[in-house]
Amino acid sequence: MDVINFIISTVILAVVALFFGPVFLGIERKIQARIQQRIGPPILTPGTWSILKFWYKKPVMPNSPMPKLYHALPPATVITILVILWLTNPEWWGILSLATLVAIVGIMKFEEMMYVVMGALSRSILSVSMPYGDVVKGAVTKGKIRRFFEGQSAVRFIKHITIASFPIYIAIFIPAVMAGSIYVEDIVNFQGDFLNLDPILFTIPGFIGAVVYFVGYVAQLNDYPFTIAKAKGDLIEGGPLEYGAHARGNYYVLRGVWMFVLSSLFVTLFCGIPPLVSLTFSAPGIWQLVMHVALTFVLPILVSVLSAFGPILTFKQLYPVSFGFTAIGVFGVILAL
Amino acid sequence: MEKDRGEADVEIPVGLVHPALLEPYRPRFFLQDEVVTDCEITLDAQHRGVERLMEGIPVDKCNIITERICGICSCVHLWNSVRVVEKGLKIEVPERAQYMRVIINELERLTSHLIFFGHALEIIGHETLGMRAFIAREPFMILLGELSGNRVHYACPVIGGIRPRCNPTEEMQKKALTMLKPAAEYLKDYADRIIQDSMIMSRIDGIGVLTKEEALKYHAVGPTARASGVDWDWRTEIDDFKHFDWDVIVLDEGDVKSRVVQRILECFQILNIVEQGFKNLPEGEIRNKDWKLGEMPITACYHEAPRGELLDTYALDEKGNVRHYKCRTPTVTNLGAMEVACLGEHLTDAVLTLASCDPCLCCTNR
Repeated sequence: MDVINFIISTVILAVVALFFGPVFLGIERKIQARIQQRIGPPILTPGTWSILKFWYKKPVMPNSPMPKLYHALPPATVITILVILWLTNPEWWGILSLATLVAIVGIMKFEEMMYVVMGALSRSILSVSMPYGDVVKGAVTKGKIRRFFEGQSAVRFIKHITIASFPIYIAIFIPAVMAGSIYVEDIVNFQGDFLNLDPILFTIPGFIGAVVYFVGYVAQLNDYPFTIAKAKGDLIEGGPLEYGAHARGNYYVLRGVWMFVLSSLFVTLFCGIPPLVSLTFSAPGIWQLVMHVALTFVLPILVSVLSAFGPILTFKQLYPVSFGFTAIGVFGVILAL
Repeated sequence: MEKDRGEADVEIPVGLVHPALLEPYRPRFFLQDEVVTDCEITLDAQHRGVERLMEGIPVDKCNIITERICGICSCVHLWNSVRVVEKGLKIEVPERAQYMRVIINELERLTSHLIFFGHALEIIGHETLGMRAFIAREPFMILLGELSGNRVHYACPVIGGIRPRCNPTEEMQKKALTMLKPAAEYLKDYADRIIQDSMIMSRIDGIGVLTKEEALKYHAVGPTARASGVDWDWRTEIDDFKHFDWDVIVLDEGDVKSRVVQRILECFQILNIVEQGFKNLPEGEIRNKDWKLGEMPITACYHEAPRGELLDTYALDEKGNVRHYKCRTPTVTNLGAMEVACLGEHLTDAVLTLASCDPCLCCTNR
């Protein structure tokens, strides 16, 4: 029976993430459009329907030295980041003691590195390989390497991983410090059960952690203003540039699921409501999952508003912003002690 | 001190097809890490041969074609081309026509500057204010449509005056003034919003500096030069503008912020000119028909297009057909300055710097 529960909850959580993740993409676009005084697309169009449309388009071969690996990156990463969601599911807490913040941080690092690989494997026609005779007699010849946008994006992602990841990691560990444990189970139990919650979010260090987590969340999503690694002004969108047809659909799934998973992690760690799948209609039963999913909408909505009003920060602004919020996070940790 | 065009480790060519380049051109950035140490811009991917097209055609047809050189600053191209004949054959233009030429031209300049804000803010990444630039622009486009019958190609000036459809009734004058008021208020709020946004200012303050010496050396023109302290505007030399009380906006800093603020301040001078124009529009003829086409030596005329100095020059043969037509648009002379302004900047800021000089490749490639 436990095995069946484990399988059912695992599958249901994956389905929930795969359904609501793309919906977040639509909500983000809709909110930004309304702020920009446009009608904007229907909520399901940018995520859900676009993905279905892309999956049914004729496959295109990317301009890449390793096209199969390049195409395999988004689905592989989706599966990997779903593990974060599964690790916050109470059914998984007993497995090999994996449900710790250290494991979660490790998986998050994998997701970040994936963009570096993506950038290294893409070779769009929009820069070096554009058939345009500009390297001719009399032209400036400097620089040993002619680099694609995507290569530059990979370089920027390495810098981004180094700098902009600090806030979210420091914020994740504030609940751990308060609960005195890195186990997700202990952090959730520290906040009481579903009917008698005392969320970390409503404490001073918890609130500071939530603010810092939000900044880190935006940085993890590479959304405005933390989108220098795929700045539209110069790099267009960096590594994912060569994704077309079904691969672009997969990339949208990845982005949507990543939004959902990080938001879900926030709800688990700061609100004390893990994504429990219990198919009974008694409390907590199915209501805990409903509440969890409802709360996951908060961060994407806030991100949409911030993104609509934030210009891209270059590294000159990114360093102080990231270090500033990291310092606030450290202050939160000290308070949590 | 002149900026050093140093060695580079990496070259990143951009475009021709690229979201940050509204039109096809090819900047090649030479970088050390992410800092631009040299830049080369290549043009002519969309050459249309407009100048060759003019050879031997009647001058009125030539004038109409000049309007098609650009979709953003169409009026100034037509007007300057018409001024060449008027200067060469000494054709007087009635005062009412002069007023209307100025009004249409200045409204066009305003819409051009608002496109610039939209583009620059889009590159900065502030899509909301980028979109709002187009909301702010729309009332002026509607006004241009009502005044001239067209939103883009107004075809207002003709030799000796303006077209009859661009001659507003008294009722239209009142309506135009009524339409201007809320549009100007929205523009003011919009400009305040840009200037007061500290995040936007942090992206553009001190970026892409073009000193006055560099602006003069590389012959920067228009708002790009005026934002670097070069006090020059061809409108001060044109008789039609002498009916109006207005100021040339000159700023000294020479960075992207100056180029944005210069245009913002220029927008309010434009509104001032247009308002004066509608309030003081004299009665009278709109076209002088007392002239005859004939042989004309090569004649040159300068004008201040929204992006800077525009030169049109041609001759007429004895039948009034155009010979040796030549047009030099502002971006041609701004290119050198654009390359220099990028030096020492982060790659992302370098693209912004290029955009802040407001290049128009459609005009330039002709």
